[in-house]
Amino acid sequence: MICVKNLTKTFGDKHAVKDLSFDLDSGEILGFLGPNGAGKTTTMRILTGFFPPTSGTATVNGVDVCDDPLAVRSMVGYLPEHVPLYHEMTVREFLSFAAQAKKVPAPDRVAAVKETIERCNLEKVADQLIGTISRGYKQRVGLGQAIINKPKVLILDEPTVGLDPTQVRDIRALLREIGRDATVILSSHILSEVQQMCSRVIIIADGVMQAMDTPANLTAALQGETRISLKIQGAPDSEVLESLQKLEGVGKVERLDKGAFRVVSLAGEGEGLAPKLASSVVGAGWELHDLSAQTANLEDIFIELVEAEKKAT
Amino acid sequence: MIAIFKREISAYFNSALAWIMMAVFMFVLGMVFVSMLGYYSEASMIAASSPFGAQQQLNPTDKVIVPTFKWVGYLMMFILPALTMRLIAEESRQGTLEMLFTYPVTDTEIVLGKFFGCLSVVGVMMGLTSGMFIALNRVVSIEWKVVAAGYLGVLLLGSAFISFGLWASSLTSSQLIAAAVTYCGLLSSWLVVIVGKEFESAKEIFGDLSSMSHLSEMAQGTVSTHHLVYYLAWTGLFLFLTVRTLESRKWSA
Repeated sequence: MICVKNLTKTFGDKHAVKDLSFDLDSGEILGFLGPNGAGKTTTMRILTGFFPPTSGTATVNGVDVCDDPLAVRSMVGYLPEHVPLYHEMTVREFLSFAAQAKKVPAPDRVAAVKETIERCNLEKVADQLIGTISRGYKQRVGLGQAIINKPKVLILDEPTVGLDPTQVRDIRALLREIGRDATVILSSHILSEVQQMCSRVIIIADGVMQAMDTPANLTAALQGETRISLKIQGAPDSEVLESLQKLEGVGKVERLDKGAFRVVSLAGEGEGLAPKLASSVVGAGWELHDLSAQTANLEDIFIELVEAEKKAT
Repeated sequence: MIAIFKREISAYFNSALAWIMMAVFMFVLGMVFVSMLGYYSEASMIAASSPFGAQQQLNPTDKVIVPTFKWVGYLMMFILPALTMRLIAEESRQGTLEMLFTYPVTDTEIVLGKFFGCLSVVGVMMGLTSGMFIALNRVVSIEWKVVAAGYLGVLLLGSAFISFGLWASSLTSSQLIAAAVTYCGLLSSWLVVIVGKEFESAKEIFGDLSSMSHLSEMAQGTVSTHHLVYYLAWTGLFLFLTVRTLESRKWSA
């Protein structure tokens, strides 16, 4: 659905995005993860036909953003970062403006507005001025204008920023529902959000792609190690420590407290370590009170990658 | 384009600005009109009582209609910058411009939608002034052709001024700066005649450059091609420049 090749955008002699390539199938939800100023918004703006890339190509559904930006724009719904809205219009007026500007045929417009109001749960505020509704509602109105012409692709810049936790939950649920019949790209610096929502993640820093994978693979492959905490009784701690250390695949064993240990696997050998530990503890005749495995989360990887990039440059 | 045009008009009439400007305009023009009428009736009374009255050229066209249209021109110079300043600057500050750029509309459509939106407000204002001439026509018969030429003139002047204001509004996200630039530009387009007085040989050229001199000729009922070309070329030039300014987002940060 979306195909980006060697995309580069420069402003003067500054690189906003450098040599970015990725493909996206329809129905996928892609998360753009990166610190502020990493090039997320620039990439999204290119994909919406806002401005053309300096070099490289980007196509949406086979249409190049440079050749026919208007055709691309009619296939893409975009929600910019600060949710710009006309505050002097009512929600209904604004949505019907968006429908007309996006060339929804006149006979279908009223129905499209009505459907969007229902989908985004805006019934309560439909006839209020946008300037007077809450932040969460504004975000939904912003989403509403993006989806009003049922675009094939939805691009959302920081869709949950500045919302309270309930509003975040509602917006995410709405996004998941919309994501069923559209390809979605969303940017975020909230890692758990990307981890929860996206089928694929691109980590970007200083305009350069650092990694692209599924959230699960990214977590596993990049970190590769598993941390397992154990609570063992029935033997002196020093003996336990020594025998755990000898097991295959174990990198490091720490004693956290009396009878509490943390085992860190060797890189790439985290899988299957937990049952091995369990059987060896039971085999030695000790009591196993607790065993829990934690995989490194995206946050660790993100900081690691971004920090590594900073050191390299 | 229609969507943007409609939104622009509703934005004007949903804010106090258009109403206030219209009220100011109608108030000042009404005062001017009444005082013109006063002069005219006084002059015609003197003429009627003098034996040479018939020889004096006394008609409402020269004494009332022409000066009224000139005043419309002066008032527009002060009112239009306040109407045009928000056109693009406000959207660029609010960020809605970014959103419009991702809608399937061209930059030209955005510019034209806004231009015609503002021009319609000016049209409504002009429509309101027609009451004065209708009232005058009940007392003395007036030359409607001259009135029509005058309206054409002020509408052309209006579109030239709006195009300049629109361009100024596209240069900045501050409405105040947009208005200031527009005032300066419009005033200098009028006062260019003063420069002409310094250069006797080039006086006519400077006269032709002035935005007001074309209007005052049109208000007297002379519609000639060079007035039309002047205002239309001006409008076209600044609409073009506005589109180019919007396009500059493609290469500048």
